[in-house]
Amino acid sequence: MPPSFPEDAGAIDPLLAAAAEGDKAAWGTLLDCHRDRLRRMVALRLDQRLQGRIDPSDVIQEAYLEASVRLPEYLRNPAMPFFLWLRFLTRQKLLVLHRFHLEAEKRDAGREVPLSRDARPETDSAVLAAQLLARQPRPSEEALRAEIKVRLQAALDSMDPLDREVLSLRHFEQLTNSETAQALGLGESAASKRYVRALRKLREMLLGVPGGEEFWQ
Amino acid sequence: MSGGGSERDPVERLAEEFAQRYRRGERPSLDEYAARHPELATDIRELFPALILMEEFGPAPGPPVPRADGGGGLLRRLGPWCRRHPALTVAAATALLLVVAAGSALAVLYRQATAPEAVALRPDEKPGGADTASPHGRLYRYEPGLGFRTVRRPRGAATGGYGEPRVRAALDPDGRVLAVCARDGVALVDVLRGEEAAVLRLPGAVPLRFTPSGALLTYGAGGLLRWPVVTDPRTGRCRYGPPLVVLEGGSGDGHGSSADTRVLALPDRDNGALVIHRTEAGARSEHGGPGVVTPRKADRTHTVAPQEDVRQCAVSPDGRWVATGGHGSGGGPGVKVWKADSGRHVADLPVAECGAVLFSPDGKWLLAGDGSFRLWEVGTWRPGPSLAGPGTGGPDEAAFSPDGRWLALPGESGAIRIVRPDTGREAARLAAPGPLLLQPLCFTSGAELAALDRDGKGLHFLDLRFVRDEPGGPGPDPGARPLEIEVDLQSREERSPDPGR
Repeated sequence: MPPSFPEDAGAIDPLLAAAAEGDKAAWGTLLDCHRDRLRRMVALRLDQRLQGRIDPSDVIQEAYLEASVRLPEYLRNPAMPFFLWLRFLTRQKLLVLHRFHLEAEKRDAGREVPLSRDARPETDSAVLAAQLLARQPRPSEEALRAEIKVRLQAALDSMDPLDREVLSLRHFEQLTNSETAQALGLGESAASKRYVRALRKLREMLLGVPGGEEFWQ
Repeated sequence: MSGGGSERDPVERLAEEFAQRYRRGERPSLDEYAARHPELATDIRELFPALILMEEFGPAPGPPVPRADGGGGLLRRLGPWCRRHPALTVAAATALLLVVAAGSALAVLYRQATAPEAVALRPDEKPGGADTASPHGRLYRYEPGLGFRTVRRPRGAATGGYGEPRVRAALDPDGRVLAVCARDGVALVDVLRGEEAAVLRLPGAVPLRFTPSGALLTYGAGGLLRWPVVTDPRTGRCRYGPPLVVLEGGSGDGHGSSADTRVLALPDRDNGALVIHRTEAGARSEHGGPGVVTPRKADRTHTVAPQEDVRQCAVSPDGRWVATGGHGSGGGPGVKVWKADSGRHVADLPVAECGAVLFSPDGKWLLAGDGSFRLWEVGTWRPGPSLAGPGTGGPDEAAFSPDGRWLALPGESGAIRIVRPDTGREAARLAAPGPLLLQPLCFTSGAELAALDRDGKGLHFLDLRFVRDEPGGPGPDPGARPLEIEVDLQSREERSPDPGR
């Protein structure tokens, strides 16, 4: 059974070492254990206009192919944890696809976010809204869920972009605090505090809309 | 990477554990966690429901978002540059939203007390909106990338709104502090954090300009005052005041100042305007009677006249020119231009009545108007590009960006027009979501425009990055360290040496 990240993070290094020696099974196990979280990331970041045209699995597959080629380079200088490196490669593939398919947005710097300290948050409210609205509840739950979704969307719309990104990484991409910190170029302590503050702001915003207190109850 | 695990917030640590268990389907209870960590019970009960909400409504690969057959045209269109920014931000925090499925269409209804609106995803994937309250059924398009944040006055104080008695603001040289008129004085707003940091409690005072060293000039109540600022380099705390009396008396009519605040122009109604060339601090002020301007002895002053009922003055950034706006009924030119150093009359600008007189910060243009704004080229005083389009605001309601490349004007229906002064081309119209009627106030050094809403007197910041297509300065940062500002209101006479920062 492949290790499930992040609980079994300690199992990653031996698999990496084996993969470096050419163990294809180890390499496959490594990739498999990260696939679900990468799919989440692609689903979150993929422009809604490309949904239906691009399969997230294809994006991940392309990233994995590149990872295979660049693995020796990564092992010589593992500047970031293995998962974040895979996430970086997948994000790069996604950007290339966005450029190719959305010619008009070729120069949209706001969507080309490097994984650096100066990185700007990249989850915009439209993407979040699309993702939130894309889920299809059962008919009996539809009304209630619809209201919750739009309230959450409205709250996220109103949030500071960095707070929104922290929440997205933690809950939508399911990154740990350590990974979130590295992805945003923050210290772990700062990322931790930022997350709690973002959660608190989200609560305040949900409470702040008309009927919010009753809704919260 | 800095920051050890021991520095993590204990609530965040628990939240991470809670979320991981939740994802495994364990459905841990808040009671369990609160009992295990009684010292964090309050935080757990308050914050973890939000955590559950995020987990529950997290994205999952699903079918494409339904697309609507919205139909209808769009009356408000921005340039194609906006298409690069597909982010939709509609500040609807105050609105109650309902999602309704109508066949294959997806519509989001904004239910508001005064202006019900509908927003639908159109076939071209651009969100459109219909103002259903309008008898003409006007259609709007909410342009992507339009961020919108609001600064509210602190609760509990009988403070009123912003923009009283005048719609005037000034931005400090660091771009961090925005001084805004308020009913109880001049409010100092932290631009980065989007919150009011302090108030110079002097009702009726109007911010004129920050000096290059960071001191603030105000006029109106108390006369023309200079509020020196001293910043403690150790703590970052800054103190404004005590205010130094530059000129006794004066009025609340629109004063003008050069960029370095050395040349000032004060409306003097039927006497024309008083131009003051300030020297270095050194002279003491003299005290005059009520309403009498008494400059310091060392300042050089002269009057520019004749002109009826001068209410507005502007000084070019380099201090060479003074423009005065009259409010007379004689039918003569409403705006006159003078050489600042000699007081020589150089141009009459055919503006029917008193209007805005505002020089662009780059010194290229003079904006004047009495409801419909016009540009004149500085120096030649020839008419500049047409600013075709309705202008419905008062004389104060226009703002140039710090680099002079953009001009914000009041537009129809409470929208703000963003115009390039060098061509007159309208780059964008900014409309607030909901029924707010916006009037431009001041560009920040970042890529935002501060604006007031006419009714609620709320202060709003509108994201202009999608318009300007340039990085601009630092954006909003609610996580920035709060500004700590003290205010000393004890008025003193201006003295030497200069105690300013």
